[in-house]
Amino acid sequence: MTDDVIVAAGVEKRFGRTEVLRGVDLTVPRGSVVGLLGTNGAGKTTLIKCMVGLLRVAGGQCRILGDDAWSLSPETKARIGYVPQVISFFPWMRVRDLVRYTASFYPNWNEELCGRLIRDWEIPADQRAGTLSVGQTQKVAIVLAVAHEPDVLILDEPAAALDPLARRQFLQLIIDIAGPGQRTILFSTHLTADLERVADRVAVLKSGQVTWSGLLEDLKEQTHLNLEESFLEMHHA
Amino acid sequence: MRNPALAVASTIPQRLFSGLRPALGPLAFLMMGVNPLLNSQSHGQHFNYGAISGFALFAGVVAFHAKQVVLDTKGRLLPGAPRIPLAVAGIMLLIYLAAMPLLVHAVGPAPLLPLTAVIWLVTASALHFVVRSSWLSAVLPLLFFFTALKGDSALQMRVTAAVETPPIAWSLIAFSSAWMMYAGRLLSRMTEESPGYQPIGLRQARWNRSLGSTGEVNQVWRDPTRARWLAFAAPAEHRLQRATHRGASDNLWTRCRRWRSVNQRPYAIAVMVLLISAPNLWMTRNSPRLPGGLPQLSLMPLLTLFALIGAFTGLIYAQQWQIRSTDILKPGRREDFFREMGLCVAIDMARNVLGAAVLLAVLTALVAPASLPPLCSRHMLLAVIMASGGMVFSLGSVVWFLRLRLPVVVGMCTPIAQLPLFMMSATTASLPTALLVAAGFAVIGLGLTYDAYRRWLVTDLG
Repeated sequence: MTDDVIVAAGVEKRFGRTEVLRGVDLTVPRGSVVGLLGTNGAGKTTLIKCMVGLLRVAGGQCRILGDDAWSLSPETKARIGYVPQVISFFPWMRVRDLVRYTASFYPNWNEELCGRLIRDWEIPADQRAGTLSVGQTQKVAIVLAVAHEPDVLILDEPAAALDPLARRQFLQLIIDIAGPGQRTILFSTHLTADLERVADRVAVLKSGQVTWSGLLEDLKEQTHLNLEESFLEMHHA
Repeated sequence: MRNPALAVASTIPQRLFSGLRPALGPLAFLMMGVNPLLNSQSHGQHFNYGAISGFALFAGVVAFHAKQVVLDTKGRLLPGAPRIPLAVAGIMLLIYLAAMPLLVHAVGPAPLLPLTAVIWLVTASALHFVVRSSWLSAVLPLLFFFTALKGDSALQMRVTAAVETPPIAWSLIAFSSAWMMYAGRLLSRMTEESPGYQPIGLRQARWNRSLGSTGEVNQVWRDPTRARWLAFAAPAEHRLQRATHRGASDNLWTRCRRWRSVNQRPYAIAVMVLLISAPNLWMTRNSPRLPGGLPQLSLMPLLTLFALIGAFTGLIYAQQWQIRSTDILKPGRREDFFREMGLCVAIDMARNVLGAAVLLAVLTALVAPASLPPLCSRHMLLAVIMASGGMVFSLGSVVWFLRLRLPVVVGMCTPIAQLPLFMMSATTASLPTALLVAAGFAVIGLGLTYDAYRRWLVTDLG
């Protein structure tokens, strides 16, 4: 039995004539924190959507927690947390309504964790989703994704709109969640500094293909550069 | 306004407007086109207020879109989020202006000055209504709307005579211009903190500046009478509380109830029918026949609306798809998710259509009891069959065309819903023919829905 939680093998995806993913191979081992790097349009969001079964792959295969991503079982879904890049809530719902609504679907919802995050991140629980700022919306989405204590957490540019304090808290949360090495986290980001702080593995996506994947330390050792410089060098290669 | 219950009530026009919004564009043109036909005896004699109110509705659509462009928070702040292009607002404005000749044709040889004054006034009020959603600014469009449907009433004659007087017409133009500038200024300065910011029904009992805080609203909930009223005015929150009760069994029904609990405005569609169909029924009683047409075609506006109720119910779900698509990641199988969503749409459609039918029956009994016998007649039976075919057909078309662009769908919705009715006019009005035509359209509608499911809904959810 493999210990890879997420497996993408030869994944292809195209929108009309535009080929977005061209045979992506990527594995995410259990307990790792993987940062997915890539320039705009590299295919990060598309790959993530294929991995969680929001998009159907045109070729290859995506598996998550042993299930085919397109036909995840309810039990597997209960073990996945996902924060999309573009977050949409029903604007009339208050934060506490959103929590209540989302919690009702999950048998293992941790109300204590949810309440603590809402307090710590100073999320206005009585405010309606439509009136939240973009950063607050992102915080709410993260809370809703982690409150059922998923085994796999997949986040698409989760810290893009967070203020410095919230970003620090978010990164700490990632470290806490991944702490014992039981949970697996995959997140795409442009913020290499964040990635260096929490990730132990990096995958670089360029023009729909993974050009580098492995331990962060190995990358630094190979290139003798920091992550940002390494990424830029790979991009221009 | 210190009374929270009144504050709740004061949001109803905006909620109504929201419910109507997708229909407004095509409805406006429909009204411009159909009303002069139905009121042919008044054509060319004085203003056709139906056409003008259609123009006002369209002005509302343009204003609403302008507000969306100005307040496109996500487009401005969220990386990668698509922005609403300003060109769309420009095109809508051009269409609005281009509709003027159509209106002039509709009203016949009306004097230009009073016509301009009325249009200007109605446009200003529609813009202000959209920007501030206040009762006051809603009064004028509603007034024109209702007077339009009264036919050759004395009231309409008096209003027409007054507006045709040059000093009054010029005063109206000046007043409207100032009003429009004021509303435009409000719109351009609008921020997320502005009282009129939230588009629709998001601020029940909160939107009014004088109300201030939510504290008063919380007090209202402790008052049983007011709480009951709020449960009506803010039903979604109330239903959400009940539907998301922890520990409830997780069967198909409870899951559907939970999915549906996030839908707001279930009463908006019913009230829309009430508001629009009542005058239509009235009008139908006064001038019930199209020259050479079938009797049931005199109910065209009513039937169109009836057919659209189902389509719009489905459209609400389709519009929510961006939000709902990630719901598929909540525990449950993919096929169950689609089955549950389909059932939700079916339940809501059945409820809205049945609710509208009951409303219409009650309304007819109150407003036009003389029209009641034909409700049970063959004509009405044929009309209902035609409308049902149109409903299924328009829903299928809406879902299918949603793959393209929402505005395209919205624009096409009304003519699509009317197609079976027009088709029927070319046939003899026998029951088998009606059943055949309606069934044909229903089959095409179901086919389109299935094709949309196969091509679009199942595949790319993101």
